[in-house]
Amino acid sequence: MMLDIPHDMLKEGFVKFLPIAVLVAIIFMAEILIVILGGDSFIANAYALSGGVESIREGAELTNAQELGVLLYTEYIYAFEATALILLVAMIAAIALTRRIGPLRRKDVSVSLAIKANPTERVRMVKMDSAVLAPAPKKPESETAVTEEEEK
Amino acid sequence: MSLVIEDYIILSTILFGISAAGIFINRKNLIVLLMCIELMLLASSTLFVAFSQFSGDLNGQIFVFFTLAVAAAEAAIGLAILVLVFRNRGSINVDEITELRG
Repeated sequence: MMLDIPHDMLKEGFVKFLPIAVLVAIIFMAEILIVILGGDSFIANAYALSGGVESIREGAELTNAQELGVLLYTEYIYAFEATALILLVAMIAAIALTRRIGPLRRKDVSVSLAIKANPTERVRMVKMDSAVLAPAPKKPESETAVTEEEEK
Repeated sequence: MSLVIEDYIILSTILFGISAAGIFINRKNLIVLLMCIELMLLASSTLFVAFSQFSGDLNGQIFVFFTLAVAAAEAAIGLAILVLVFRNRGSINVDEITELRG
């Protein structure tokens, strides 16, 4: 795509984790299929554990929050999930809009590199003689005469 | 004295009018503009809740639930755009951000 991601790095680790991924997928699918296709006994147990939805609909005294909860999770569940999706997209958009890409403004070294700094590998002592100034080269007479004429 | 529905209608109308006036008056600050838009959403939500309470129907409050969620998402994106505008133009004066530059 238009992103600057190297593709072989993305596909790395696919074959290495494939058996574990297949195992986890099979376990999740088995759990869901047992509940859905398990017949009435499973669902009846779930109802009994939750206190029974029928008791709520019999007109018991509920607080406002409980009534809203019942409505949200039964009649308006579709809109509820869509709202969650809207919030997710808004979060992604806000982060993506205000992200700064490029080199860091400050000239900071990463902390891991700073900790690993070692005087033996950063500084190398070299022994050499102290500098000796070379004498100025002697110019021939004709060249100095030419330069003096050009300056005038 | 107990509250009647007209009290809530007056409250919502005053809130809505103040925020609408705020959008027109305020030309210096983009943040206050976004705040006025949020206040308009809040005024209509208050009216929804009031009517839902006075007629015993819970659907009004569910509608407010989703309206507020969408208002939050819109405020987040509006503020992100505000940050970008400030980065590129250097000011949040509404009168100065009048040209679409390439």
